[in-house]
Amino acid sequence: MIIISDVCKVFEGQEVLKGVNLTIHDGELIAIIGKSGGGKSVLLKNIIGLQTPDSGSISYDGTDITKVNLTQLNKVRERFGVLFQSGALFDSLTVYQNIAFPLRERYGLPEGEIRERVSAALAEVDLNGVDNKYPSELSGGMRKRAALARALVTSPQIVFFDEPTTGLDPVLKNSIHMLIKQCHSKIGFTGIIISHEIPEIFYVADRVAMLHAGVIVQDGKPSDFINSDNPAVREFVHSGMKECTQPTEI
Amino acid sequence: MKGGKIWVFKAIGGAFLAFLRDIGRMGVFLFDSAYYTIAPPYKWRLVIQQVWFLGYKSLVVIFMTGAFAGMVLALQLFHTLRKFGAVSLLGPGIALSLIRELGPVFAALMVTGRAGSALTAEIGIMRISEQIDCLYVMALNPFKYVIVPNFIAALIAFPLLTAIFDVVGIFGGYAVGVELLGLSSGVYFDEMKNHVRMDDIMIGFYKSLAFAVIVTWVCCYKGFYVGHGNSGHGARAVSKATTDAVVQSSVLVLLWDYLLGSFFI
Repeated sequence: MIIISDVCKVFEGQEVLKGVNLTIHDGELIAIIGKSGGGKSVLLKNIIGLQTPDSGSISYDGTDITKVNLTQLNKVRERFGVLFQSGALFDSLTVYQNIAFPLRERYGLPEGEIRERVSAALAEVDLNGVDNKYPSELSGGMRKRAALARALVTSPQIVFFDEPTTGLDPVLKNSIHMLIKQCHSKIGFTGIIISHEIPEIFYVADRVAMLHAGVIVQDGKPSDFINSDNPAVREFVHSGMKECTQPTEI
Repeated sequence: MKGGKIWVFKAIGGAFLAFLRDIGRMGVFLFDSAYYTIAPPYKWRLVIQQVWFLGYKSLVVIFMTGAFAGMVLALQLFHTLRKFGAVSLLGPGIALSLIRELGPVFAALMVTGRAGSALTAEIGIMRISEQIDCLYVMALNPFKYVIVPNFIAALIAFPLLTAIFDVVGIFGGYAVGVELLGLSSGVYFDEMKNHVRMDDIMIGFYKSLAFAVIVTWVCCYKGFYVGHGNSGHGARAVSKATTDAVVQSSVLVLLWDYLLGSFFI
């Protein structure tokens, strides 16, 4: 279980997080939604230990990562898989080498086992025949799939998705969302998705939390968001729905 | 007017604090780099790859600048020494200038321009495209993959490149002094043997090691912390970091050369 309590973060005098409280249960797929620039990615960076909150705590099964040393933090991070917004594939390595990287460097597995696990991970994300290609030779959707394969290859207990569909067309967005849903059902990891894709994210996540003005303003089932009384939630959700149903004017 | 004065004080104070913060972060970065260079595990494959990049790929530029440095030295020294009737000292003059000063400094400046800037840009792009963050969340240490191999490779490559620069420069001087200006070949090399001591060679060696640390330190630091402070964002931040890395490395190499020459060796 991940317990985020009273997390505050200030950047250059601007309060980005003003006391975020959220509990994430094992095995659930939760989406953290909110406007662009509203602090979702900052919250994620604090949750995975890339930034330290100014106050508050973030604990994984009782281990508060804001108070541990690097060795203890790395012990917690060994349970992570992260799909970054940009994919963050190592651009000087091939797709195969990218996916094999954590297996080789973190676990030192024999080459035969690495080959098997990389092939299985690529098959899982429906990506074949690109083992020897470099990330720059792949399309946006393929890069996301390769990054997802790398995030899942170590069989992590907790997987973070930082705006996994940003910059993709609607068909690819849908396929990445479905892939996340399928992998979650199959593997059973705890999934945390940072997203502003309304209404698509409601079909993917079991639970949704909305970050607005530095705090979680609503936390519940996706259906609760459609008929929410909270003006900020209503405005965000309905503008997202409208964008989806109305054709864009040229 | 009053508000204007406060604004000036604020700007100066802010810049000074940012400078202090930068110096402190650079110090911690050097300490971490040194610590992780000594502490296992060692990534020898990456070290060899970086020796190839920093050393082997710099050979052409070292050959070219070494040869021309020796040739220019020979041309200038020959005419000066002839006025004093000391043309026989051309060989030691060239050798000592190259071995003690020009070899280590020129080699360091050339590697900074060719490979240091590339290091900063590569690490900077890794930083802005979240590849370094990715290493952190994989519970791996980015220093081991991105910084330490460059430090070890530079400590191997810089002395070797300096030695090559010196030898090529001496033969460049030979081509001008002996082949073009007519000095005896025996005098050129014999006088060199009489005047160049092991201490002179060691001074050049120590300098090249110091410059290896300075260039790698500044270039890796600038890339690793790209976008921090007021250096901008994205591609512009990488471009600024690359320029800063080359300028600061070059200035520090010359400054440290003077300090080493006047206070230590």
